[in-house]
Parts: sequence; C-alpha cells; structure tokens
Amino acid sequence: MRRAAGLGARASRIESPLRGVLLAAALAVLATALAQAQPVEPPGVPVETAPSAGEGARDRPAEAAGGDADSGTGRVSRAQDDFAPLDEAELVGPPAGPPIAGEELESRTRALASRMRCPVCQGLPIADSPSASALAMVSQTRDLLARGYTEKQVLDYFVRAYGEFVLLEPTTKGFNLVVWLLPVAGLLLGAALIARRLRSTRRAARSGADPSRPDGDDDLDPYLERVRSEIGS
Amino acid sequence: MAIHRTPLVVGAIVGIPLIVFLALGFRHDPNVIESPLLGKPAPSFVLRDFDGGAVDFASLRGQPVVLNFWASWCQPCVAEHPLLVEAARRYAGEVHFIGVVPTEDTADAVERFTRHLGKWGPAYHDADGKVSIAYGVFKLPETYFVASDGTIVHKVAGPLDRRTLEQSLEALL
Amino acid sequence: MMSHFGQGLVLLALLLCAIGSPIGFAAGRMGSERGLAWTRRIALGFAATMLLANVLMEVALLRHDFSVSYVAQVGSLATPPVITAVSLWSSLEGSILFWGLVLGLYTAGVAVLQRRGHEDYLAYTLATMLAVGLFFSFLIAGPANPFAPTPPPVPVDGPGPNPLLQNHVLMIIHPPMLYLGYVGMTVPFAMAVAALLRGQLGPTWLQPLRNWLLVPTGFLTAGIMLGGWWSYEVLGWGGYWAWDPVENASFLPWLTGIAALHSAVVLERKGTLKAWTVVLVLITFLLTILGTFLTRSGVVNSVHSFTQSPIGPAFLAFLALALLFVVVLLSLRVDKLVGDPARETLVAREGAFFVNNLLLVAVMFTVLIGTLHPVFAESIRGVKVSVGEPYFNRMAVPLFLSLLLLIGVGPALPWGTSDRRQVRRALLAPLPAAAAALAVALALGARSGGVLLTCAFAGYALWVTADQGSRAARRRAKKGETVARAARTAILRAPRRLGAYVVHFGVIVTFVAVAVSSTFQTEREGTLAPGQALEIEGYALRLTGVAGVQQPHRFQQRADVALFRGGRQVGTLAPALNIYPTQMDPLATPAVRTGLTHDLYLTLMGVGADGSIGLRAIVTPGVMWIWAGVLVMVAGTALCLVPPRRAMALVEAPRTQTARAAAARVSLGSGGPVGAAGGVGAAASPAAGAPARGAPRPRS
Repeated sequence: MRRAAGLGARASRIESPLRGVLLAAALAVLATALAQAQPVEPPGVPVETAPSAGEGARDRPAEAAGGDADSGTGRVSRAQDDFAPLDEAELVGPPAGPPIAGEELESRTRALASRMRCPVCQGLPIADSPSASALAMVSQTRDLLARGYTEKQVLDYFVRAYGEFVLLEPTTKGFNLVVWLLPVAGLLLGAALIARRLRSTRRAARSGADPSRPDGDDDLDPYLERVRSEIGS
Repeated sequence: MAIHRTPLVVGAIVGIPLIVFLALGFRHDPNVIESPLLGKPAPSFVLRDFDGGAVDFASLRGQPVVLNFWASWCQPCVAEHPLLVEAARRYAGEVHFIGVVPTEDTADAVERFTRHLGKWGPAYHDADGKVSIAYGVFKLPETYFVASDGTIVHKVAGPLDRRTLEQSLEALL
Repeated sequence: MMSHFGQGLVLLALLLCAIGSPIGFAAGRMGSERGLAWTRRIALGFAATMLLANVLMEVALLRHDFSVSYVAQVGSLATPPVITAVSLWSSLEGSILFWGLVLGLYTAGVAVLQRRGHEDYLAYTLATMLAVGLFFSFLIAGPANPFAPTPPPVPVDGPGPNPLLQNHVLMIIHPPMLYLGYVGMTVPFAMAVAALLRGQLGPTWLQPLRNWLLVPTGFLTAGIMLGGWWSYEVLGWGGYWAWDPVENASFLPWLTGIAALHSAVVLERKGTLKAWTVVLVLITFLLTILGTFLTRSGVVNSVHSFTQSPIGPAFLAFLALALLFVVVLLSLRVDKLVGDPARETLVAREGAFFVNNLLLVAVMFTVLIGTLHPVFAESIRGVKVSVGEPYFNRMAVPLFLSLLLLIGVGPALPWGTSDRRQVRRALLAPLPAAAAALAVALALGARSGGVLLTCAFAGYALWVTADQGSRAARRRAKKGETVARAARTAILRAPRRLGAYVVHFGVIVTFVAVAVSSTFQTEREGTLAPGQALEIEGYALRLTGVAGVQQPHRFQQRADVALFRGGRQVGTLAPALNIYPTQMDPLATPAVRTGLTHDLYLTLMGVGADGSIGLRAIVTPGVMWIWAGVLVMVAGTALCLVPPRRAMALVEAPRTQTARAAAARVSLGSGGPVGAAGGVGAAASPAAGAPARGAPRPRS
C-alpha cells in the first residue's frame, strides 16, 4: 500500500519537468508573439505628431490641375511643376488620420512597405526591391502616410488596384483563416498527443512498473552516477 | 494481417485534399493575375507628355479609351507596337488611344522609339509612377480598355495580339 | 549520334531499375543471398549507367554539340567553359539527369558501404531505391529528355544559360549540395520502407539509418546556406532569405530530417518512438518530392523555379503513388513497430525530445501550409493571394525561439530521472549565463524584444552546450590527463555526441546572427553626382566614376565608389547593373564588403545620363556569422559521422559496471558486430539500461 502511494507521488512528479519544458516553450511563443504584435520603436526617435506645412502642400487635388483642361482634345497645357497626377481621395476617401512627417513617417513607411509584395520581382517586399515599380510604390506609400492616410487605407488603396496579391500577409477573413489557424491547430493537436502519451505512461507506471528506474547513464559518467546515487540516498 | 486504421485515416485526410488541390493548381497560371479593377471606374489622372502637352483623363469620358502602358526599353512593347499603330489609324475619332510610359523613360528614348516604329498616340510620362500604381500595372506592356462611361471593361497583360485587340475594341464600341 | 547514345544509356538505366527493383523485393522476402547479390550488381550497374549518361552530356555541352536538344537550349559559344560545364544543372532536363546521377551514386554507396551491418534490410533498401530510380529514369527517358535530338536545322549557336545563374561562383556549388541533400533523403526512406517490409527495427537498421540521414541533412544544411548566400551576393536586395517557395521547399525536408535524427536518439536509448521515427523519415522523402513538384511544375511562381514544364503531372502522380504506398504500408505493418511503452516511463530528457519533435514538425507544417496556401486559395476562391515574409516571420519566429530555448533546456536535463531537485538544479545553473548575455545585449543597445529574448536564450544554450560538450574531457583532465590529451580522447571516444554539441553551437551562433542582422539593418538611398558622397553608419561613400563595359553576353554599367571611414579611405566597391539583351529589367550586381562585425552592401539603382547614380547602401551587422554558424553545423554533422575509437574503450571496459555500459554503447555506435549492444529494438533496450539499473538506487 505504502509502496503504491509512493509510486503515485513519484509518477506525478515525473511529468513536472516536461510540463516545465512545455510551459517554457509556450511562454516563449507568447512573449515573441507579443513582441511582434507591438513594433518596438527604435530608441531615441522623436515622435512628431504636428502636421508639417511642407507635406501638406503636396496634398493637392487633381481637379485643380485639370481645371484648365481643353475638353475638346482632352489635352491641357501646363508649365507649372510639381502637380498631383491623380487624386487618391477619389479612390479611398479622405485621410482618416493626421498628417505625419520626419522619422515617424520614415519608420512607418518602411514597416508598411515590408508588408506589400513587389509586383515585378516575385516574393520580395517593395521595401527590399530595387526595381523601379517597387520604388514608386514605396514613395506612393510614403506620400499617402504623410497626408494622414492610415495603414489600412494605404493597404486598401494598393489592394484596390493589385488585388490581394499585393499583401504579403494574407487577410484574416474567410478561407484565408486556414493559413492562420491550421498551424496553431496542428501545434495544439501535437501537444495534446504528447499529453495523452504522458498520461498513458503514467497510468502504466501506476499499474506496476518502477517509473523512476534510471535507465542509461548520461554520458558514460561514473562521477555523475555516483552523485546521482548519493542524492537518491 | 491486422490493418491499422490510423495511417489510412490520417493519410486520407491529409493526402487526398493535397493531391486534389495540387492537381487543380495546373488549371491556373501563377503568372496571370486578374485585375480587380474590371467593371470599376477607371481612376482619372492628369499627366504630361514630353512635348509640354498634358491630358486630363476625366475629360475623355464619352468616348472609349485604350490605355496602353509601355516603355521604350521593353521588348514585347516593340512587338505589339505596329498593331496599335494600325488600330489607332482605323479607329481615329471613335476611340482615344492613350500611352503612358514609366518614370525611368526619357524624352530621347521615347522619341527614338516612335521615330523607328511609328507613333499611334501621345505618350504621357508617369513621372512618379502613381498612375501605374492606381491601375495596378505589373509588367509592361499592359493595356486597359475603358468604355465610354469610364468603366474598365478589359485588361490585357503582356503584348497584344491581333485577335485580342480586335475583339476588345469591338466590345468597346 | 551523341543523342542516340545518350538515350540508349537512359533506356538501359530504366531497364536495370525495372529488373532490379522486383528482384530486390523478392530477394528481401525470401531472404535469398543470390537475389541480394544480383540486386547489388544491378544497383552498381544503374549507378554506372547514370554516370556514363552524365559524362556524355558534359562532353556534348563542352563540345557545343547543338544537335543535342539540351545543349541547344542552354549552351552558347560565348559562355566560359566552367559555366558551360555547370549548365548541366542550370535548366530542367539537365537537372533531372543530374538528379539521376546523384541517385545512382547514393544507390551504389549503399550497395557498397552497407554490404555488412545492414544485411537483413539491404535487399529491400536497394529495391526501394531502384524503384525511385525507375521513376527518374522514366522522366529522363520521356517527359524531360535532355538527349532528344534537336529538330533540324541544328543551330550554330545557342542562347546560353539563364543570366542569373551565370554571374556568381556560388552557383557552381550550391545546386550540387542541394541535390546531394535532396536526393540523399531517398536512402533513409528506402531503409524505412525496408524496416516496414521486414516488420522490425534492429541495431543493423538504426545505425545505418542515422548515418544515411546525417549525410543528406549535412548537405542540405550546406545547400540551403549557399542558396541564401547566393541570393545575398547576387539578387541585390540585401537579404538572404525571402521565404520564397523554392527556399521553403528545401527547408521542409530539412526540418523533418532533423526531427528524425532527434527521435532516433530516443529510439536508440529507450526503444520507443519506433513508428514515429519511421513516419518522420517517410515524410521527409515525400516532402522532397513535393518540394520538387512545387518548384518544377509551375504551380507556384518563384524567382528561381523553372517555368511551366511537362514533368509537373508526372511528379504529382509519383507523389500520389508514393503517398499511397507509404500509407498502405504503414497501416499493414506499423503494429509490428510499436515499442514497449508500458515499461518505459517518460522522464524529463525524453520529454525535451518530444517537444523538439513537436516544434520542428510545427515549423514544417506552418511553412508547408504557407507555401501551399496560394495554390489552395486560388482553387477555392479564384483569387491570387500571397503568403510572404511577414506571415512566415510572425508564425515561425516564436517556434524558432522556443527551439533555441530547448537547445539549452534539453541537454541540461538528465537522462532517465525526473528527480525534482536534480532537474531544478540542472535548469537553474545556466541562468547566470542567460542573464550575462542579456546584459551584454542591453549594453550594446539592443531594445527589441525579439533580439533580447534570442540573446538570453542563446546565452543559456551556450552555457549548457559548452558544459555538456566538454564534460567528458573535463573529467579526464581532472583525473590528471593533460587538457589536450583529454580533449582528444573525449572526441575520439564519442564523436557523435560531441558532433551533436558542435551542431548545437553552430545553431546558436546562426540564430543570434539572424536575429541581429534582421533587426539592426540600416539603409540609405541617394543620388550621387561624381565626387559626391553618401553617408551611412560612419562610412562616407564617394562616387569616383562610372564606366560602361560591353561584354560578349551583356552590357555592364559599373559605378566606382570609394569608401571612407574616419577621413581615411578604407577601400573601394564597384556595384554594377548588367543589361542582358533578353531581359527587360537590368540585373543589379551588388558589391559587398564583408567584415567581422558588419557588412556594407551597395546596390546600383540606376545611372543617369549626366553620370550621376542612384545608390542604395545597406549596413547589416553579423551577416558573416550566419555563414560561419552554418559551417560549424556542417562540421559538427561531419564529426557525428566519424566512427568512435572502439579499441580504447574496450581496454578500460571491465572496470566498473558503468564503464561496461559505456563499452556496449560505444561498440553500438561503431556499427560493428553488435551482439551485445543495445538500446535498439525490443530485445536491445534492456541492454543499455541493464548495468545502470544495477547501480545502487533506493526504493521506497
């Protein structure tokens, strides 16, 4: 009777290191997920929130430029430089946030540009691609962000023209949920299988076998073996 | 002989969809990407050419437009160029033929190109690439067929061939 | 002439496989010595035929014999001979022919090297390999025939190989390494099939399996790293890994191969996880076929993949057949491989191996889902979607970090005990190292959570790796041996054990380097007129001139940039743009200055008419340590393959019971006559435990 109780106690102890390992792994997963979810601001970057006058000037509606069009030929004569070729507000609506500039603009541009796929170079984000179209897309991204468009609006703007293809990260809607949930489900299933095996071995251990039989020394180490037996006694 | 069921079940759950979907994958060319703009209004824009002229796309409404994105350095553009020259002549007055060349193209290069191969319409310079982005241009050349009410009805990625061009133009009119 | 001879050789190979494979299976079933001898001869014949066919193709390439279709497709008189020689694997048909050669060499290798020590399984193993050979011979003879005669008129010159493959020396060694890894996974697969067909796993199975799993894994490690390095040196975007389908395809079997190597350790020690190890090995092979299908069929698009080709359906059919075969075989035989779990108990160390397998398989599953998702989504939704870097980083990085932690935690845990105090002591001891690494990272200015975690885990793992790896040597040194002699003996006695720690060390270095290099990259872009300078991270990059060079096969624009640091010139770099007549966009060739702490990476973005240039400069810390870490991993893998010095162990053996266990284990490791050795198979597992079980151990 006493023997059986002792075994039971020991058996429950057996899995605790494994549980510790699993816990540590889960914590690591969680910690990094958190670290990734909240992009860490680079140290020492002053965050500018005040709208910059210079940037605001770029927000010129296209209608103004097209105002003096000769409607008969569809051609206009223009000598003035730096005109906006098209009005994005017509396509995605007015900016939903305040204009930004400086380092904040640069870091947000870079972050957003690494989430969009370069259309000519396959697989690379536009942030990394040296191709002309990718450069133009990055500068369009910067331009929209500067005028106060939100990340979502900018992504929508590109998706409108290029389709979901342009997003390097699939959306979390509909069938795309598969790509997000299936790996997690697989991981949980695997963990469950291990846990089940653990339970069944514990049951087997309870039903008679000596669970803590040391079965093989670590690295042919008589010293360790001696320590181990001393600890045991 | 005892038959263990687990491998059969797992194999069927994983294997059958895998093989079926991969086989279905043969029906799609990974390089063909359908434009989400079909049936939507064409983004309007204002662009200048190298001679000081400019176009306001919105003012073209009322007549169909063939909007061709090309570049002087692009080989397939050379191939489709004569077809466009011919079509622009045939449909003069009925359809606007508008060309857009990319940021990195220059007045010289475009001039040389059209001197050699003929000119089918104005070539507007997309100086900061924004118009190409608004239309979702992947690889040059690309051609958008815009109906007279301003909706994009068809897009051809890659060089045009005679049949596609004829059919698309007829659909426009 | 050449093309007829070549086709004849391929048909001969096909015939040999078609005959040899059934003979081998029959010989395995009947246990016929003569059948086995014939299977071995046919396997050698297959290898010789494939070798001849490849030599023939090389001759045709080097002689520019354009009457052979493959030569007409990739050859050109202007291409330098070295490039011509390696264009054997620059295009689809040639690469499949080369695949045949590698498969032939592996088959011959098994037939010769495993003549002893694997007898019971050898006939089945060779038969399975020849069956795979049958498929590839069929591909070479039919859908991807490189020897087909060129339809007349035979051209006088050809287009030359793909420009991307021409411009770096790494392209010469990267593909063969990858093929040696990929194709090599056929060997463990064949051994797993043999085990299932025989319905048992004995010591003469596990030892060869481990070796033949280590070899392709090592090559795959090197191949993947060389691929990353190539893309860093050639593609010009400043990175080395983009989660491209081709990269993912090589990564998938690598992950399961490593998982199998780890579960094999538990199998050896405890006699459990038999079926699981076999399943992992089978999956590894299926993943190599799936990966090849993905990159060769044109179903997914990718930078490096060959475009739409006729072999896609053939590969898919083969994948389906192999999958069906594996599933049926498993369902018929897996119950024979079930170990004896009731007698074994889970303890800490084994638990760590379980978690290792779980994590590796989870990474594989994630990468697989991500790679296949675009294909699935298009079939179901009819919409093209992308799954790229941000997805893979978000999903895989937490798993990789857990693996890094496990590299520390796993080996720290003792085998065969779950005593709480012992476990706690073992796990707490390395914590100061983790704290020290964290402090160093903080002192160096790291603030990103990912990097800090990586550094802390790496410090922990480093301590454990060093502690465990040097334990045997330190023990000897304590007994009075000189340090050098102690280290030498320790290495010679247990090279596999030490090799494993060397590999772990390489992994830690690579992990840290990857984390640091991907977090602390700085980048500047600018337009420079001659004489102007761009500043980045203390460098001033001054444009000294622009040159245009007309080369036989391309036009090259080169910018000469002088590098100044602290007012002194420290070097020059010449990034270039190559314009190929067949290519629309110019190809950038970056110029890289590699250093111990950081790389300076210059890409030429464009050259203006006035001689000004667009220049992108990237400074990335620690890139070199990625390559170095992987090289250490490869070296460690090689060390694992060194047979242990058995004679010395036997001399000392009889002194203690533990030492006798040592002798038993060492002789097992050597793969010699293993009558007494244990740890493997139902009968064997007590052997490893027996002496230790005799050790004094209180019972309640």
